[in-house]
Amino acid sequence: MMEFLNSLGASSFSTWLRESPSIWAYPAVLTLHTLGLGVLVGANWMVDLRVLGFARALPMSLFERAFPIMWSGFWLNAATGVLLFVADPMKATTTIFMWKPAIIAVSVIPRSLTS
Amino acid sequence: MTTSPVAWPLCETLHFIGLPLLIGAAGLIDLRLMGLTRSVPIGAVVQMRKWAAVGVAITVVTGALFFIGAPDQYIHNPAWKAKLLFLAVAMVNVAIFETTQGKRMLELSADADTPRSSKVAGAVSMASWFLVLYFGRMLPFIGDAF
Repeated sequence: MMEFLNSLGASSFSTWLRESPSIWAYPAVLTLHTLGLGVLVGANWMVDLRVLGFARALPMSLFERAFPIMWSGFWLNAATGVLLFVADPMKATTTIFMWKPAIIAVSVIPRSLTS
Repeated sequence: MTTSPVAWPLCETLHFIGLPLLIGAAGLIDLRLMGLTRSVPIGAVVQMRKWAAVGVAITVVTGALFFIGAPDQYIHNPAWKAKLLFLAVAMVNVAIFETTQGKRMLELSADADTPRSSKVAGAVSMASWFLVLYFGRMLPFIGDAF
């Protein structure tokens, strides 16, 4: 495992992502990851707030439009999240790193089963 | 802000909780204003403005705390100046929308197309909030924060 993480981190793509001074490398990936966060969590919270009983005037047709938006945010963040991991694979050795995919699974699996 | 071990990470987390509230609510309103999601009733969707306002309040307060805590990181930072510029554009856009069009939105029928002025307001909102986010993210890259 450590060997795999080391060689991934030493690869030329990983090095470019991490060390390139270009704003199209790490900064662009980080920006897209933040945008995806806003789109995914934001659209999701609007639906959740409605489900929790706030803004009852909002009809269910909003949901039909919000779900594709949420999934586009999700896949944008899945892709950029993989890139952020490739840029710094040693993150995987920290305890807190494993919490994140576990919590993502908890939030995505029920959604996938019900929608 | 800088001596406490929890103050900065706590404000950072709150800043990133306000962000999706703002982007999510404003983004869905902007799409409707631009006429792209006409199946969503206009009178209902503009009610999400209060969630966007909560998002703005959280991010502005925590953002102000970052500035008070470490002003040197920001005051000469070109990304910070650009961020504040587009924040001003977004706020002026909201103010103009509220005073000239806000109430009219409630009078439109649910699936009505929006007037051109509302389409412009939606597009300006979406573009300026994205640029606020972009230049916020660029603080350490274009500028030299952190």
